[in-house]
Amino acid sequence: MAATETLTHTSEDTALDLPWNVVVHDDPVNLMGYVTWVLMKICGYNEQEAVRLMMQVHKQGRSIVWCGQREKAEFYAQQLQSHQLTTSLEKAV
Amino acid sequence: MKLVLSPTGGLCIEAEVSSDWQLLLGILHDAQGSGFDLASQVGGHMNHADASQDWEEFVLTDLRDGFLADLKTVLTAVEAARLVAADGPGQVWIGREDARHWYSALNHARLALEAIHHFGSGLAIDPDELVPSRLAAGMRAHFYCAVQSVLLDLGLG
Repeated sequence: MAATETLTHTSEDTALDLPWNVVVHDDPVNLMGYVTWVLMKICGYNEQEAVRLMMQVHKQGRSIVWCGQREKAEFYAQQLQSHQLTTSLEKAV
Repeated sequence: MKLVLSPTGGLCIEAEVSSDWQLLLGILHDAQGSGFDLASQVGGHMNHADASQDWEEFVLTDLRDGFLADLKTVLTAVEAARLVAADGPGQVWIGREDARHWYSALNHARLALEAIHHFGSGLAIDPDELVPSRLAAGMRAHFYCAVQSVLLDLGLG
């Protein structure tokens, strides 16, 4: 009788979770000073950085205002939307 | 209608005639007119397949509740002041603690008007080209924007 041979193959696949972008989109209503104030308040930017991002929204139609862990990205998106900024989430590439 | 800064850092809106009260109540009518859903609007670019499964159920509900609470704050203040003034000359006081609610309600109204009339960022209004209803909406949007600018200068807290 032949001995039963058991082969065990173990593999491990690890993938890093992609970071998420929080994107603010331009709209014709929100005042530039207000957008700057919201970015300072919610994302904690200093005025210079908040103005830079606000101008990016104004001139390019959108700006990635934060990038990182999904749960935190969703929190920021919700907070920005609660301040009436049109905001979306997207996977960073 | 006059806007007067208060010594405590707030803002006073002085209504002079009955139509001024109608203009202030117009904030609520404009914000809620035509079934405009601000919560959906500010998330209009969201790909809901990318967001958490409970985004629609919980986040949108919270957003709607928050926007509605801001509108109610404004409605309560305007109705109370109008009652005291008996629809005549009177004042609505906006304390610093309420500035953000007012700003939100005014923004809500402007976004709703923009969704209908598409004025654009310049709010360029040519009276000769606009039908009366659109002209009136544009004038209201101008007024709301002016109050917002003052509130922003005062600081939203």
